[in-house]
Amino acid sequence: MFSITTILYLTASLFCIGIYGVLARRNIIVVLMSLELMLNAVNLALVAFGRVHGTASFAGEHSGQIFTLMVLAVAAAEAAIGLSLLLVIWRRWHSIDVRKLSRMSG
Amino acid sequence: MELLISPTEIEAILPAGILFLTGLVLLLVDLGGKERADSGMNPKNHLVFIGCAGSVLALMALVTGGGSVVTSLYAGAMSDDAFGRFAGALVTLALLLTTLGAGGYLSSIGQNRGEFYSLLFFGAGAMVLLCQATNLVSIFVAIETLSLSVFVLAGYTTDRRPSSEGAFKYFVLGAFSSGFLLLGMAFLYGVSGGSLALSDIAANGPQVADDILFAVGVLLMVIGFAFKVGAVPFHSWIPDVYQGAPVIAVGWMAVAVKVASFAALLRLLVAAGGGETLSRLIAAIAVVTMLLGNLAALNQTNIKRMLAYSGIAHTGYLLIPLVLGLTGTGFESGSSMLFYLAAYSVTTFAAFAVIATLSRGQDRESIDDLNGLASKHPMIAVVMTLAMLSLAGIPLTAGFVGKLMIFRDAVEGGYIYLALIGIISSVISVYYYLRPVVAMYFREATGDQHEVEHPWGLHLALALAGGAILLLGIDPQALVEFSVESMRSLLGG
Repeated sequence: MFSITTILYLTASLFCIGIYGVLARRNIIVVLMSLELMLNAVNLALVAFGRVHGTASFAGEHSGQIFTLMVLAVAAAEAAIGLSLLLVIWRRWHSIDVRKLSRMSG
Repeated sequence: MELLISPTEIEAILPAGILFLTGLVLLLVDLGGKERADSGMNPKNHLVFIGCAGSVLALMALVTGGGSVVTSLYAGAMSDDAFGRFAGALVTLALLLTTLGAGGYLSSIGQNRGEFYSLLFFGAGAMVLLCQATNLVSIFVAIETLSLSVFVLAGYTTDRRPSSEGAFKYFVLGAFSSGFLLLGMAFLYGVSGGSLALSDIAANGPQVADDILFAVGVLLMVIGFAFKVGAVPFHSWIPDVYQGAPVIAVGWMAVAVKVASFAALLRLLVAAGGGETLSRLIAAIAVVTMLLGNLAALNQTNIKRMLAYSGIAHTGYLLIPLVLGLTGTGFESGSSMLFYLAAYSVTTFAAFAVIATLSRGQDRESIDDLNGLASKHPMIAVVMTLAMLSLAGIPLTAGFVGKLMIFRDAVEGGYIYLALIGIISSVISVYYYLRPVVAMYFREATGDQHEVEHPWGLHLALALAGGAILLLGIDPQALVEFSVESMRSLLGG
């Protein structure tokens, strides 16, 4: 099927799309989605590496897949915090534009 | 019958377990506490007492247990060595001081709720685990747990604009850096033959050292950690977050996050290596971080921002032992880092706790708010002076001994330019560290000077921190020996 190199290229592309989204988009919800995309790109790489190393690995079977499960749990917790911050910001300023948010500098 | 978990494993996880349990208890005790918090100034001393009991218990568990070095517990997920216990004890000590100070401070801003304490404790549990973690999964989960708790603490005062704003910036950049960290971990996992344990990565390292994925993986992980400790160019969030967050939480995150992240970074680099290129890169980061942190702090009038840039500068000093370790002279200089972390922790906490004592309703965060403090609260002014002198590295304080150790290692390791730049930037820093001292002693008080309503906890914490600064400055021998020993336990010699 796919080679590990192909999957790594896909991982890199998804990760870069995530970086672009975090840095360039103004809408907070899109920023949060881009953060999730970055984590999920890495999940893809982990699952792929886990399959390559398979059961032959000397430190336990399927360790890559297990790592992915942990990352999923962490990503869910992160999304919960991000969305609750979003809620606080919306209630107070009725805006979810990143640029309107930044007042402090120097 | 074979036990599922061995006694050594229980002993290793006991400190973190105590901290997590205390966090849960604090949350449950204050379930009906919201109404009481709203009815005026309520110190809620019982929360402080429970918190102190929990952190003292955890500290005792850290100090008493772990006589032998056990490297592979929970299938290689964590180890039980003196290094992890030393760093964990620093975190727990910071937790004890923060909990002491939190009661009076939080009630004076009218936000004394149980979740603040439980978030502190959940974060502290994760930090202790991070100090002991020896496996990519456990490092990742611990660092994320501590980050999530600190994000919420930064945005704790939701009714203040800078707090939510700072918390959001912190959240986005923190999650962003976690992405890099995780990608680096995936690469390391990929090239190290399908093992997630640091020991296997160390064993495999030499064979794959030329592999581009391995180098990129280590680099990405270092970038992820650089965000957490606030090294240039990944420092931009620090001043905004420090300015916005409630000051007692700032003291906590400035100290504990840095201790735990540096401990994990050191453990990672000892295992993975990284060689000449990475060492040069970190040296460059250290130089820029020292200079930029100190220069940017020069013209700050907000004392929280000033301390934020000062924290960035201290990150620069703390990177020097890593440079030395990576060049093959060995990681023995890591003991200087451990001592410096201890000195930095008590000093920085003392500075933020002084700001906390002046808060009522909101933080008093301009340097002018310190005017004439010496005549009104002479003891607080003394502690603040000690903290400033120690941050600047004046003799007879803890900060001086720490800087001396790091610069001596740099000179002995052949990095004279690093030591020189460190000394020059320390000299620059004396200027801005003395400004609060001048304000306290030589200026008249301008307006009414506030102090928190129930200051006993803060006063006790200040006394402890001030005493520690002096003790470590005058008689550092015991702690120096202990940090050397801890470092040896990590290097396995």
